[in-house]
Amino acid sequence: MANCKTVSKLLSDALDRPLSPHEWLVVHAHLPICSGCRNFRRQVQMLKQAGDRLRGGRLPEAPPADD
Amino acid sequence: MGVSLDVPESGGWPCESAHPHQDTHLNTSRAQDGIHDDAYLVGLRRDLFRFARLQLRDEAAAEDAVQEAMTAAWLQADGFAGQSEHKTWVFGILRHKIIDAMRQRQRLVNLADLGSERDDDAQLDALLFDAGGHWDKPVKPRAWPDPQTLLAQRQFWRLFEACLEHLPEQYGRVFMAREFLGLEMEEICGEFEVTANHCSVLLYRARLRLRTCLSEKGFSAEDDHGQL
Repeated sequence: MANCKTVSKLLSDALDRPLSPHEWLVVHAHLPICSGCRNFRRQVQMLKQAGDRLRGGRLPEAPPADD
Repeated sequence: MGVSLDVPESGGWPCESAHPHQDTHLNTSRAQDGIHDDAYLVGLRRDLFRFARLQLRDEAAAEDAVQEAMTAAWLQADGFAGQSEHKTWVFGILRHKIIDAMRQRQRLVNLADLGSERDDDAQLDALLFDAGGHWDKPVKPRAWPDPQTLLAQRQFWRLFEACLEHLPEQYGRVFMAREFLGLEMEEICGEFEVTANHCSVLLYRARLRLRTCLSEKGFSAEDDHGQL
């Protein structure tokens, strides 16, 4: 069985290239049993979303003054 | 409950940019778009500079890139539906200016020479993973708040910047080339003169460090359910 170190690297790779069928199977056999890797995946996806926003200058308006 | 992520910050992330002012007396010819509005331009310049400085890690080079982008933008400021569309377009120009600046500097830096970062990577791995390569229980990634919520919070952007600045320069530059400039992998490998495999390792290390840094700085939940 693949370990989290291997799977987290593949989850990072998946943001940059298509995974091979074998890699895809490794990841999807592991994710259902590992909350750490599921969370890791959401976190790196969010880093990408942050970059997308920054690139477009599409940042949120300042929230209403809450002080 | 976890930490509050709603702490008001002052200090100028782009999301704090000035609200559009409809000072129509300032733009006689484009009263409705506000592109020539002083407050808008000041905010735009500040946002551009912050983005360029993060990417280039050099105040002077960032200032040059911003100046070029602003000048180019000034020369073709017609035909935009509004400030938002204009801003996206100017950021697009800045992106090209930054890539040019990176290309000029590239020859000076040997990205393949990671030296001491290798030791740091080994230490981080020892911290995060157990002997079998599984997440060590105390530091197993826990859920962050909903992305849309998080990305709307100034606190997030402040922490994100702080964590980016903690990255070793090589990691930071490859990460930002990919995620901020949106370069494709083969472009990045070409720019940094590394193999595709090495490139993917650099990105993985950068992401692993960033998410670990952000978790340490305030996104980790107190309980095992991991939901803030």
